Amino acid sequence: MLNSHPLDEGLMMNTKSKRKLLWAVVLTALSITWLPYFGVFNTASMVMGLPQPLAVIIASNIVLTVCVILIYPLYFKPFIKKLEEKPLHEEAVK
Amino acid sequence: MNNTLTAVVLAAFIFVFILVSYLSKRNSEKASGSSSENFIIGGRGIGTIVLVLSMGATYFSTWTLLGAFGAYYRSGVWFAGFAVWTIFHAIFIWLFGARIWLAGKKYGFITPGQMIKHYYKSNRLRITVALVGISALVPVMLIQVIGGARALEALTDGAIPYVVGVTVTSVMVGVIVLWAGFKGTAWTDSFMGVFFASILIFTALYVLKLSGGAGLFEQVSQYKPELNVVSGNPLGMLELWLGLGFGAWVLPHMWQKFYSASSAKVLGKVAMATPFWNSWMMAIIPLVVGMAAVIPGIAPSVNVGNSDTILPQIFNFHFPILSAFVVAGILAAAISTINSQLLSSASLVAEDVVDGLTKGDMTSKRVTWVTRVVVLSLTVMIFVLAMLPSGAGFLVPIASLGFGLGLQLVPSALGMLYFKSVSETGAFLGLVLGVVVMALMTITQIDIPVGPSIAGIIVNIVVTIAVSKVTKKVPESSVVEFHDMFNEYMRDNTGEVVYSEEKKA
Repeated sequence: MLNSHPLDEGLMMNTKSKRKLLWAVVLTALSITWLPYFGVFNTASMVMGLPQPLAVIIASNIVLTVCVILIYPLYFKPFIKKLEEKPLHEEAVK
Repeated sequence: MNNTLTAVVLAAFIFVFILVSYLSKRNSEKASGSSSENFIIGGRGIGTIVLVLSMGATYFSTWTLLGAFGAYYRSGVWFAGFAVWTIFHAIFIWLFGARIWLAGKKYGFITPGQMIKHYYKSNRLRITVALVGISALVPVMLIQVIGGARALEALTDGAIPYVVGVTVTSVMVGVIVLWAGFKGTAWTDSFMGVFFASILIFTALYVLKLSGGAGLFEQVSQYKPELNVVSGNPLGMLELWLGLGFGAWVLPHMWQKFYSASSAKVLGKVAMATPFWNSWMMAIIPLVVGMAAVIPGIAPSVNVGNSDTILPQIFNFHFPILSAFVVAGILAAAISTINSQLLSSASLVAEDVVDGLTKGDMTSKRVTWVTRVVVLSLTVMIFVLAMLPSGAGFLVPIASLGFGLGLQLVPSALGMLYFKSVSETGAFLGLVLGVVVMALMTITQIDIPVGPSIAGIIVNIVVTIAVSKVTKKVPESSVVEFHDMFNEYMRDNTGEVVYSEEKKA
């Protein structure tokens, strides 16, 4: 990984772009969940059997759940790989 | 409720509890590593399933089986923000938990205070962080013991008197922590988490069947249409969101769970599983049951005043023969939270306060010994206070601020995990003033738009930033040991930056 080939760069850039996209989606979904608290999407009408504000919150929750699952390949996998490449030298402070 | 059946179910529950404790004790005897590391954080050897279940069961207390249902019954979909902040528990595992695990693994930390001391080179900040952590945990433990015992007494119509509830809870918690340490608490947490989650799932399915499944909310709108819309008050939700959301990683007993993970892979899998356990299970199911309770025939005797007992009321009305399982479930939910808080509080006293005030470092065996003594002392203290008629009265206001106190630890923790511009003096003064503001607001009951937790954290952040700008930065060695390590392993780990640097060279 440390001596990555130039051809890999596109792939690596891609990972960083995906990470940015992930956080954009997380922040958007989070913002949407707050809208009913400010009176937006907050009527008593039903959307697929759910009250409108609850439907908004549940939909955001589904999106956030998917985002959390994507954290594993986008963040934990490179982290685990890095730890395999360069194991920690443990230095107990006590 | 059938008292004989209740006694049989509780006896079976206690038997399984002791069996799981014994198995965990036997397993932990095989572990390598130092004595205190094994006792306080399970020898950094906890796997995915136990860690997911243990973190969930520890975070969700008796409140999930009692208070959450009532909150939905009273507030309706306003309280659905609960589901979102529990999703963020998983995101926080990457943002904070993985960094805490990495530093803990590298430098052998077993308490948050040790990490604070190593980074800020500050004993006063270490002791203050420990004291704030203990203040956040101990009163909550006491309230859990009292609340659980009162619920048991009420549910069994006095067949399990208050004194028996307090004694059983205190003895079970004390025994498991003293006998089997962290691994024992984690394994029994898992057993108890599965137990009370089974009760939740069963109740939700039954209530959905009674209320017409997909038509549940249509029916709610016939009886209490105001519950189907959010009643505003975004600041109220923000306060809950910050306190309960951040509490999932910054409170000491949750922080130490991160140290206990056996690998980064385990933490990653825990993060993936957390939304399903914390949000869809523990937050959405109470939503379904709590709101369905407004429909006639689901929980006929429920009203706003007794809405925190919706679950027992449903069982008493529809399945009186199974009510004993709810009693055992409440006991399970209480114990699975208190045991981790007890062990964590004791380790903070031993490792951060006693060691911090002692000249020279204590040995690992000595830390374990002191932790055991503190566990025993805290158990006795909680038992005695719970038995005094007004013993806990003065602690109730503090207990209600538990998560808010935990929130005050966030700026100093963020300095260590993300922001090298935060200085020791800034973190120390921010923390102290944040807690003082919270205390003053609680005592004076001053009426301003934000609550004590938010006011405290605002002051805390402002003071931390302002003072850090004009005081000495943390040593360069701390930046290298923490921030550079985090960057190398967790941020610049795709190879892209290294290649660019090579190209420049």
